[in-house]
Amino acid sequence: MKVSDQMYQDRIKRITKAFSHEEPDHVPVIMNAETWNVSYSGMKIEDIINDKEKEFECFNKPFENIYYDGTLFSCLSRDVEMYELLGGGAYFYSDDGVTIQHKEYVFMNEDEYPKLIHDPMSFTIDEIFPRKYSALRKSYPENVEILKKAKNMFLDYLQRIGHSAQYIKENSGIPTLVSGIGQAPFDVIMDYYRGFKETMQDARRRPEEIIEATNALVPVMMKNIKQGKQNLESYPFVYFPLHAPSFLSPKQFEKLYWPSFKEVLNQTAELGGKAILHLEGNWEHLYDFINEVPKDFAIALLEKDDIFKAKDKIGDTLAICGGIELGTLRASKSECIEVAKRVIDKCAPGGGFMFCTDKALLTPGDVKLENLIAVNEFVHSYGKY
Amino acid sequence: MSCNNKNEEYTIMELLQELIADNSWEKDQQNRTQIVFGLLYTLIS
Repeated sequence: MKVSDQMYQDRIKRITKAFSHEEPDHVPVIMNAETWNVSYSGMKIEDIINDKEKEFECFNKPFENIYYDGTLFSCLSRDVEMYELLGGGAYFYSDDGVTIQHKEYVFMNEDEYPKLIHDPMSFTIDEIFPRKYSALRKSYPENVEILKKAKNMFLDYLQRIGHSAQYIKENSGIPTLVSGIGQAPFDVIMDYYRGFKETMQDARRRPEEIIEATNALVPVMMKNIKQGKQNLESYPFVYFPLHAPSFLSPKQFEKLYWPSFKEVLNQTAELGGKAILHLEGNWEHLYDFINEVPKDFAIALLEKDDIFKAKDKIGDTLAICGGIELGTLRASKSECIEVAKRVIDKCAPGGGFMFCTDKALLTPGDVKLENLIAVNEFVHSYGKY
Repeated sequence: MSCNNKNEEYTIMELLQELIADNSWEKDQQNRTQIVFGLLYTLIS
């Protein structure tokens, strides 16, 4: 067994023990970074988009100098070129070539909920897609030829996901924690069909239609999570980026968001899968719901929640992942270490804790590099059980 | 699918069915169906 193989196995054990509320040998240090890896390697996105080897090297390079036990992602999260080929989509590169950006569009009208409810896939494919992707409005066979090219790019992207995870495993002994993506039906409606403002209006004016639409989307969500499999592995995890709840009252969440999302989570658990719930924004008003999630089914990846409150209120149900704000990592080194020490002292006992930044690293200025290096080293050594 | 009539147009669902029926890029039909669904889901997002 190579050194990296042993390190890889040790790290998976560290992560899965912490996940299950057992005390591992050390507190796991998790990387949440995407395009930052590219600039860290001295490149821009345009330098790597047609060069897989360079992309793999970029996502591996931080592990040469910065301590980590695992990473959420091992390559770029979107193939922007594919969306551009289709003449639309919501993703594009920033002018400085450093990040992938998202722009919100409204592709569905408020009176179209009955069509979404009746048959989500047919409505999406035959009515939403032509609005969203101009290339699909072209005549046959030009449109199908573009679809074939998009399919080839998608296949290439799937390969990149697998190969990049293999690359950092072999070169650095680092496991990639995410193996698939899940979403909450309410977020899908907000993010991809109606937009933020319109969905929030619908929540007041058309709540029953939202409920029906979210229920209709559950099988679509599950088909994507299952990826053709009968059962799911308990590791790696299904990653759920969760967007709307920070803006919903507990009453709205309970009625509009939670029932269909809970169904998706329960079905994922029944299939044997485990999850990373990325609690974007602040979820402190929703902890009673979070405690309905099966115990030891998921990691709660925190953003704005007070980590001590989260550990106290939902820490028995889920493993907590978080610990330091990007803003703190731009302050002095001693302040960073002080924060990390306090977090470990309170959150590490008993397991169920992993250390991570509160947001994904995207641009070079997100953190002071020397602080990140010092904090991760400190967490690994001070976080010894 | 063959398109003999130049004026005939197809829905996108039909174009996707053509993609699934084409075994030149993947022999196993279940795999083709799954990959095309993956593409679809990616295009929704």
